[in-house]
Amino acid sequence: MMSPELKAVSREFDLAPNGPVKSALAKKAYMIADKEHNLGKSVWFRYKYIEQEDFYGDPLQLVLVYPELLKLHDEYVKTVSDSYTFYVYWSYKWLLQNAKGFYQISQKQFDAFAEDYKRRLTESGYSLRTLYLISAGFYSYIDQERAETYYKNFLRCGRDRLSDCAACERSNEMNYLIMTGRFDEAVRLGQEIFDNKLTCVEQPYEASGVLLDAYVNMMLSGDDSVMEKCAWHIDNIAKGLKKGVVLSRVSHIILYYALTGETTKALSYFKKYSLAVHKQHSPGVQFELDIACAKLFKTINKKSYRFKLTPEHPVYKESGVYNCEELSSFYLNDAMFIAGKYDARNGTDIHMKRISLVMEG
Amino acid sequence: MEENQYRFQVNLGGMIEILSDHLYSSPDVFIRELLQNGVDAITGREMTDSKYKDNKEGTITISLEEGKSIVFTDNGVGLTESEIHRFLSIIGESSKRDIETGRILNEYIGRFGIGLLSCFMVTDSITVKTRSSADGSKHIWVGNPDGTYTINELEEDIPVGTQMHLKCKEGLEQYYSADKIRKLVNYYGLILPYPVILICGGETERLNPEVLPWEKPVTNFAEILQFGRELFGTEFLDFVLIHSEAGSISGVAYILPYPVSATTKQKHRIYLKNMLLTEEPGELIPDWAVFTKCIINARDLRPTASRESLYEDDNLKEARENISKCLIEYVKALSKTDNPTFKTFMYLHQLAVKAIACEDDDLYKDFIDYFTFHTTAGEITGKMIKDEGQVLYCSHEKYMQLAQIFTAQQKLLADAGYIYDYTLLISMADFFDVSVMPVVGDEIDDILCDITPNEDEQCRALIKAAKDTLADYECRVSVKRFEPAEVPCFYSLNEAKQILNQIIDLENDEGVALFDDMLSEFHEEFEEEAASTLYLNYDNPVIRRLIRLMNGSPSPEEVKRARRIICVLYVQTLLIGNFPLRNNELALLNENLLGLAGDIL
Repeated sequence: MMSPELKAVSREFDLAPNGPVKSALAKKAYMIADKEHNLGKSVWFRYKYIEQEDFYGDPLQLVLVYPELLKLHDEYVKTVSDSYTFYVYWSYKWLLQNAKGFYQISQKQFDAFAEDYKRRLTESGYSLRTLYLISAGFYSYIDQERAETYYKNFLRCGRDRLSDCAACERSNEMNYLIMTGRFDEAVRLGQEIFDNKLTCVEQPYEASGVLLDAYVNMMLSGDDSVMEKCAWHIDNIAKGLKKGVVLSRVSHIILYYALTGETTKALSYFKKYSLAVHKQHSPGVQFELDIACAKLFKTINKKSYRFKLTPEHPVYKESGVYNCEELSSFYLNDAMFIAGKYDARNGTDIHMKRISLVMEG
Repeated sequence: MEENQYRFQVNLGGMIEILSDHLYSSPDVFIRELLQNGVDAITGREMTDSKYKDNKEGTITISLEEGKSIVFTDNGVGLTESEIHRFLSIIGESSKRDIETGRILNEYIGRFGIGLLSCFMVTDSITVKTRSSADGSKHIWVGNPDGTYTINELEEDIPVGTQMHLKCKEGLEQYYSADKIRKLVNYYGLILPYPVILICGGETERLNPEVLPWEKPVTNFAEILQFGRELFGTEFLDFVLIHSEAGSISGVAYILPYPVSATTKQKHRIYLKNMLLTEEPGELIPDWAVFTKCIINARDLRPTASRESLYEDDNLKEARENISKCLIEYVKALSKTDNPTFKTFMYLHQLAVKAIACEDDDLYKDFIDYFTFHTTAGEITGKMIKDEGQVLYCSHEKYMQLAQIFTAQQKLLADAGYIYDYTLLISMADFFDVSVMPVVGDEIDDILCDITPNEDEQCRALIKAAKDTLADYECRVSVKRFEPAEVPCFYSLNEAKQILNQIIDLENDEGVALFDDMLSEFHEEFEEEAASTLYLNYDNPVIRRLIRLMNGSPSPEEVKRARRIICVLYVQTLLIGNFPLRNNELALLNENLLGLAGDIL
């Protein structure tokens, strides 16, 4: 039974569109549920909060609230039933998927999560398919042999109701294949998504982000022949951004326009979306924005620019006049800081090398 | 035809299956197609017979033998033999096509010459008896779903017009009941301009109203609301009359009496040339008009082939813009009167409209004046904020802390933690000459004034005692001067501190040991930037007394008592600011209140 207060918030939550408002209402609801010792609703609204934060908000909140969710879920299973298990295990995938983007989550910690999740899935009779693909993605930067073993296990496991939707799974698989140098295979896999035969809330926008990232990397390596393929994917990502998803992919657009010299277009994306990226607290997403902006402001052929940012923006200046060199070095320094942390975790120099490639490319 | 050129063969049975499975959403549409043909036949006769038109003789009659048969009769133009061959027997041919130009005449509803086939969804054969107004000839045509048909001269005498005889297909008896016919005519043909008469079991009844209430020369509000109540089963709050020259549109948008989500897709009644086309808002009703249920008749828009949606062209776009204008003008007009409906409207639908205004710049500009915001000056409208020229905003949590101080200092602070208000407020600066700024460190410094060096000197002992007392709570202490003097303390913490608090709570929870490694990494990261400060108000009598006490030569007992008071003030300030209590802070309050009570009692 819900109290009248919880009922009212729950109703407001149902009416609100996805995004910060819905997220705030989910948080309000689980705090009320906590106070009222309504364990089921404490679990449910935490799950909804995490869902909102993962798709439309700040992944750090997902990472910090998931431990509470899992603990409360386990209590609920012990005392009431396993009716929320599916949702809690579904959102476990989001935690694991986000682990790659947080250098604060070590390999050891990731392995501990994966081990715990594997035990839970096995006990509940779920397929390990998605866990293998996420693990392949996580290790693709760090240990390709290990990553490939996970990928082969992924291919061997059947789909079940806990698997990602077919479109998202395809997009994640494309990402892995590109990371491991199998670009043509990735493009072939993505065809159904781009033909609108496999779509969902995030697809084809996210898959376009995956391909745009790959094309921009090819351009950085001197292959300009792919340039003409980018416009279509940029349009797709722009549609996703309008729907409030794929914010992490805006950096590829900025970098693309920086490389093609279309700095006005790049600036317009910077002005519109950079604050939202800054607010995300996700170092992985921040790193991509950092290198894109460092490149953009280095490329711009003017000493300074006048534009409007809100005072919350980390580079905000009351005068509205921004020195391009200062902005470039602000973003470059931040990128270097994050790259150092990532490479230390992964035991590689991939991120540092990427900075060099972008800044010199 | 060239030697190796062939003509497609069409399997009519297969075509019917395609129509019923893919083109039409249910057999219900056979009534729509029959009504449509009837209306077009009447329109055709009116074009050649002015007396018939002037006397408004056009009528559609449905004679029903329940569960068995339907005779659908119109007294329209009828068909000659050659017309029967062309129009009833060639799929895709339409009697509404101008013979000279091949173009579909605008006066007609139907366009594709395939409507008759929909009847095969409810009958195994169609008999058409018709008498042409052109030459008086009478014929009977019988069509079968296998594509065969017969045509003969009709011996019986019938008036000018057409009768469609349908016999019930086995298992589809529900389509041959008076209730179903009433329901379907009401649904598809409610606003047809000709009488639709049902004759069943010796009873005769007219199924559609004679005049639509919104088309009467004088608007009768009660009658229009009553019409909406009967149509949609809802007691509406109000209604808006809809007009658009583009698409030749008229109708009513009823205002829902309950709140709805911004993502709701309402069901409407959208008619094309008086015949129901769809319930979906499609591209005609603006996405943001979620608080309405509309009945709209468009006389000049194009349907798609299935006649279940509208063809997207410039005319449709302009019509949608005009419908938007009608709704926006309604809200504007309502806001300028003392009509309590406006208050109710905003109370019920502000959230939905706000949600959409966040995404739609034009709507934002149209509605921002009427939205209300929770501020230190009370609930005020967007227009009042625009007139003020500047506003500060902050999160709900911060607002709870700052509101009292901002109110006392008569500074306008908006609570941007309310639904959608953050986006709506910051957008004001983009569209209007309004300074919209968040409360950041500088603004807090503005409302918290520095004390003089001399006063600072007096406060040192108290600050030291307070710092020592709150050492376990990682809280800085500072003395400032701020209004109102009744507020002894003000607590402020930055975002990093908020996140750090979240992390510390998790670290203290043994049930989440799996996450320890990650949490300690995050702890280290956020600890560097985390900061919280308890500001003591120099102008507050309690603080002034503590300063005096600590600045003199207090006894150990007095110091102990002062520290207890500091603890109580600290926890009280957290409670007033709605900060979550952590680290046994509630225990700290109780312990020190008991200690103080012990000192007194």
